[in-house]
Amino acid sequence: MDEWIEVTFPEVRDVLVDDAVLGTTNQPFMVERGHHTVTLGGEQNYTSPPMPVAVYNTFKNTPLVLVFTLP
Amino acid sequence: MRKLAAVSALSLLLAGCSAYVPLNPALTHPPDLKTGYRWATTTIPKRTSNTLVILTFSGGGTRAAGLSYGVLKQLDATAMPDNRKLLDYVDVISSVSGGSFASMDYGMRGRQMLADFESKFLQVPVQNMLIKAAFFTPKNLIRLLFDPNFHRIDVAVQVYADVLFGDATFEKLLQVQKSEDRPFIIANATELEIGSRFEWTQDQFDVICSDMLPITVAHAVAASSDFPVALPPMILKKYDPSSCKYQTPSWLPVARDDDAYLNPSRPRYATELEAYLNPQRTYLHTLDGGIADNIGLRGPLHALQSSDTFEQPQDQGRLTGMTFFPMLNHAPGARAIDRVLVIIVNAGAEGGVNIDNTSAEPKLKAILGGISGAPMDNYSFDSTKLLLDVAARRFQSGVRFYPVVISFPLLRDKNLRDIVNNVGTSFNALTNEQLSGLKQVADVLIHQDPCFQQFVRDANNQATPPGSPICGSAPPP
Repeated sequence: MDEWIEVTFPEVRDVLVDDAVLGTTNQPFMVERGHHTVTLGGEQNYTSPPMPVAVYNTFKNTPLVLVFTLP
Repeated sequence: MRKLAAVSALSLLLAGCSAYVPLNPALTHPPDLKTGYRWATTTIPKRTSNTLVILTFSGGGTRAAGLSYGVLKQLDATAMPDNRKLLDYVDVISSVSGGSFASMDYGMRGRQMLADFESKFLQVPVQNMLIKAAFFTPKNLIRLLFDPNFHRIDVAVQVYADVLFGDATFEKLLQVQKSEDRPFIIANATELEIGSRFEWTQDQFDVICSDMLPITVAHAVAASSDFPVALPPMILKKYDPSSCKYQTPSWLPVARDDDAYLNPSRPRYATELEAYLNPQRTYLHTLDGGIADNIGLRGPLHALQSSDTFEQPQDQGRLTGMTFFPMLNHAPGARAIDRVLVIIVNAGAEGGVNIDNTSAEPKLKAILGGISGAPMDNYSFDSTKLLLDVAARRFQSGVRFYPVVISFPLLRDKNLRDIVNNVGTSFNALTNEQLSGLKQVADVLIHQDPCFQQFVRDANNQATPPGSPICGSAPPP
């Protein structure tokens, strides 16, 4: 079951879902339906806290939007 | 007296080798996604083509091997715009039982296999060779009687090595995959007690802390085609997960505990992985891959639908087990895929009317055949239907899917259909008529498939003529 998430963040970063790079920030991408932990990758000066989410009933044009912000 | 001494000496000798010696060695380092025969170490994730091509070869003895070979030949005859052949684009071949002879031989020898697979395997009486080697070869008879490390499945390994594979190991398979840029071959068996697919890749062997590189590919093919009852299970040692510091992937606890109703596939997969890790399980008993999935589709299907694998990602999340999600998402660092061609080669034979034409009580063979065959056929249908559903759903992702099904019931020519349906599920040599029929079936079915036609047109930037048959995953007009 395909679902969609979009991580918004001021910088371009890898987006890791359950520790695997599945997409990039500010673009919707596909994940499997269910509970996941989302983090941002990259070696820059901000490490995101892991964000646990349940993803269901989404579409590419209505993804689950996850907002990450710089401290 | 001399005879007694000889028997005593032989007994002592055999007693000396009576301790169990696992065929699979321990993994002496933590799982490393940069080493071993696995998806991540092959050239496949680094290819530049935006088209992912997956083949699945079913079980069905030489009937399956012959049909799979016929499909490989058809792909070799299909031109692509860069002057290469579609065969050169094949990324993954996932196979079961008889299909594994074709997949593994192609993986090892490439196009040379297309030139002589008929004379080296399809028209060789392998079944008779198995019987002769197991029951009429004194050396093997003695070993079967006295050596606890030698079973009839080991006789099969010997025969398959003699006929096709020699002593080639997975180390050699990985080497030729890389040097010749060949497909990633997944030979599937079944873990008898867990009831799950057991694939001969290092991602699977990491879970049992074993190193598969020194094992011969003949073992994998024998395991994949280990026909129940006729042959005993192949036994693998399961080493303690702590012995290689195997790390459970981070998706597992939450998928197992929280997704039972949201997405039951995830807890099911988690439970399967945990069953392998169960400390009480110190050995695995594997049989024919057809028991768990007779068309070899489940592995690729999982990789198309899920990012969960048996491996904890490495290299900042860019190295994973086999999942196609990063490629389908055009994730950073991943090969970008825009088209997916999946060709299911299902050599399942239609049964005809054999017992329903009489009121007589059916023979045990017919009953056992029905009991084992019906669930397998139904599951194969469901697997195929699942792929078609995934393909249809993926419009919104922007990735175009082309699911192609090669299956005897789709044949319109009744005579040809009868010829191939009557090829028994065995490793008997194919007759000229049977071999010719299987090759013809591959030709007819692949070219009549609307998704294959659409794929070839799209790959070559050709317009779709009005009235063309519709590929199921075609975008709405």
